[in-house]
Amino acid sequence: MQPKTASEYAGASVDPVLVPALSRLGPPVLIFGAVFLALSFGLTMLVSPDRFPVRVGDRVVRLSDLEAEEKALKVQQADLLKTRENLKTEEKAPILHQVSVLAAGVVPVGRTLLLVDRVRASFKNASTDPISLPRVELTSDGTLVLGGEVRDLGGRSVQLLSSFIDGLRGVPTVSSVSEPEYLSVEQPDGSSVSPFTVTLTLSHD
Amino acid sequence: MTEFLTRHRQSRGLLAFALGTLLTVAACGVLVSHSRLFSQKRDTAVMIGTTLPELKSSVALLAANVEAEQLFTENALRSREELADAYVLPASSPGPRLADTASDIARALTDHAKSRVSVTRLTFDAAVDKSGVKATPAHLTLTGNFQAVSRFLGILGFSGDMMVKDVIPPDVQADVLARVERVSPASLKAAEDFLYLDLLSYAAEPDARESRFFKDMPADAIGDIHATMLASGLADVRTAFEYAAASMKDAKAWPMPLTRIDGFRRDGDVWTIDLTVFGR
Repeated sequence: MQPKTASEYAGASVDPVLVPALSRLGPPVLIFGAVFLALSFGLTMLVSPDRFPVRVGDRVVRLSDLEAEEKALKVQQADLLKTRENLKTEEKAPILHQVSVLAAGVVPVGRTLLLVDRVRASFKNASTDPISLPRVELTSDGTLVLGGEVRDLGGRSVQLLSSFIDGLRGVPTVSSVSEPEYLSVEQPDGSSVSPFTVTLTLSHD
Repeated sequence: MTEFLTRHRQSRGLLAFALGTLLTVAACGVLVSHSRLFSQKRDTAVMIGTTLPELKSSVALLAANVEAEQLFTENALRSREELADAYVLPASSPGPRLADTASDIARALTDHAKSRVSVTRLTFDAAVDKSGVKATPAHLTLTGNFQAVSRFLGILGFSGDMMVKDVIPPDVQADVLARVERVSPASLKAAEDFLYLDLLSYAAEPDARESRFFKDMPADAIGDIHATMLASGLADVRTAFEYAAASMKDAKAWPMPLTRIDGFRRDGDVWTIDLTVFGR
């Protein structure tokens, strides 16, 4: 057999060196790969996250315990909701249900009058009751019209009236209060009187 | 022949190398995915740990609520339904009951409050039937000053309400119960009992009834909860029934027929009030 020439060696590139080298490495690489894969699987089975506790807040718990606790609570919650659904009174107490339906959406007139009186009475003191409401009307469209006057011995009836209007605007069952005309009628004794009419729009329950 | 055997041996070697490389890459993949799993599980644990206290609290509240509703359903629902049938939405004419109750309210306010109110006249028009509900227009004439009549109409505004929970909006009830569960879980039952309390019984002795509710709660938590409940309607109950509750309870003047105030007009101390009284 003739020895190969240099050009023949160059033309053959690395095949005569690399291929035999790789083929010789084959069995050890195969054994390494197989053992490495087996060890990896073994490690994943042994070192499971569920085995190791985690710190949550001020306690250390295992994830499986946390998940079990959460699941139990959710089951309990679902049972309670189902029980509550079965306790609905529409069928067991139809009249009570009908009452609640009729009562919903009622304009709270009585409550509003109490609150208006509370605002009015807040201006009283031991000797005077400056705000009187001789004209009161609830119209069919649900607006409350108050007509009255504010008297003040010191001549500050307009200021008292504006405070009264502010107080009415704070009543939770009133959605709006019209702006009255602010008049001051001087009296011979130095006091002042401010007659007024305001319209309160009531909000629904 | 030798060359053939050499080539065959080299092919097997190359195949083993390729396979070994694949197995190594696969093993790396297994390790990487496992470490990601570790990280995910840790994040899940932290998330569950954060939401668990809120879930526990929500379940505790729900349990207390369901227990109270069960007790009410077993013990009191039937009697409330009977009261509603007899007085609040009666099948018979509600006129006589309204007339009695209006007189009892006026008498109680006059006897115990500082200003007088009296029922001068009460008339009824023909009832209108709408989907099984009878709406009877009524016209009531009262004599009294603003304070007295506002109390009278304030009490009328609670017609149809039989328990404390009927006065407080559902969202406020839920908020109060949540706050009670947070500051004093042992007081949850007392809170539920308070909500199911008969309205006139509460109005007759509000301080005593509230004390029973707040008995086991920390002092610094009571103020806020009490203020919320007063603002949501209990203050109006106290004001309206302040001078009338005890007398009305003695006269068995509650509950009264469900009544709606449609309009009124004041002329001096004479008030003309248009009402609708409901029945079945």
